[in-house]
Amino acid sequence: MRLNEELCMKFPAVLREKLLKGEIELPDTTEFDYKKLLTYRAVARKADDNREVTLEDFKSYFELKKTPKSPRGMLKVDLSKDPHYYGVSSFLKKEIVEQKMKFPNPNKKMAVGYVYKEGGPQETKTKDQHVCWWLYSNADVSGFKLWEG
Amino acid sequence: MEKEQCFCIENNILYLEQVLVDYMDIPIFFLCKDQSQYYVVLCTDIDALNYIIVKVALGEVYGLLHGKIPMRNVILEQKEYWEVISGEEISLDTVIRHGIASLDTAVLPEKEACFKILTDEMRIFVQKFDNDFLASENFSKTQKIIQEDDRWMIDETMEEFRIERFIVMEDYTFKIKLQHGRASTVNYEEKYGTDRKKATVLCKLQALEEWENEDTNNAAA
Repeated sequence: MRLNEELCMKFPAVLREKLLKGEIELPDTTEFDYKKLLTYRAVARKADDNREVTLEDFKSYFELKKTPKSPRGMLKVDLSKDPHYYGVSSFLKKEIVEQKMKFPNPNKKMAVGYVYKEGGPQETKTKDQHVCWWLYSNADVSGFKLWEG
Repeated sequence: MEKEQCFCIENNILYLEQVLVDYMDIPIFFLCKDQSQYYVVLCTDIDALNYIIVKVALGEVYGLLHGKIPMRNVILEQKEYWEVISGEEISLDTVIRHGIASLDTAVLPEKEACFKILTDEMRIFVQKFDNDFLASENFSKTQKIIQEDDRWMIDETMEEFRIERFIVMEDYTFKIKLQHGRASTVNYEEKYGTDRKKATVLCKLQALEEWENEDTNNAAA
């Protein structure tokens, strides 16, 4: 799905450049006009860290990548060419995030909120209840709250 | 489709079988397999991409996938594990074998946390695994289940019947008692280590219709 320049300019710098140059395209199943979706996301938090959810919690692994090494267990793809790695994942079922929280490294808490169209386009895959959200620059994620349980 | 190479452990290439849990799209708990052996892999550091790996028996994979064995226990119950400090390529990994007693349990999943099948994708994988598992040598023996008085007996002389599915497995070890001087029937309870109410076996054959009314526990939800 090729996007016009005006739309590309809404995204953060790295994704924006990739889209403008045609190096990546968003999947054809991406939706720009959709009803808001209640989703759950695991965010890295120590047990006593109750800071509000911010855009920092919505950085993709690719943005945060701290090592040139590639994770194991992933299909061998050039991550820089897969648009999903510029999006952030959340899930339609909280049990999926609860399962991730059973693993201590890093310690996590669950954030819950709405993926909404003004924040950016999304792609939902019902087979794994996964929502990939491509956030616009300075999207407002203050609607996401830590789940008290 | 060619499977993804993940690790090389003592000259065995481990290929990705299935990601069970991920975080930020990074697999943190997954199954690998070499030519015949399953391994459970846990990512202990998502920044440094360090892993621990254990060999697991087929029955333990079944128990893991169906929530019978906690995720933590499937690792702790092994005698040894491999610590992998990953390199930029598999050939550059540092792989160290340790006795399980040296494992820092703080890196493991929470106590009593069992794996849950939460998506259609996972359900499909588990069903395929179950089909392969039940077709394995553990269950290749054809048996007829008959009722004799109050006891359920397996007539091992019968060849045309087959256990189609063995849904509830309380015990993965079999105790077989041969009754000398009789046709080779064995007591079902003694064979499977479970009592009739707990153990559930489905057979499609008409002669054993009575089993179809037994309560079943479809562990692959």
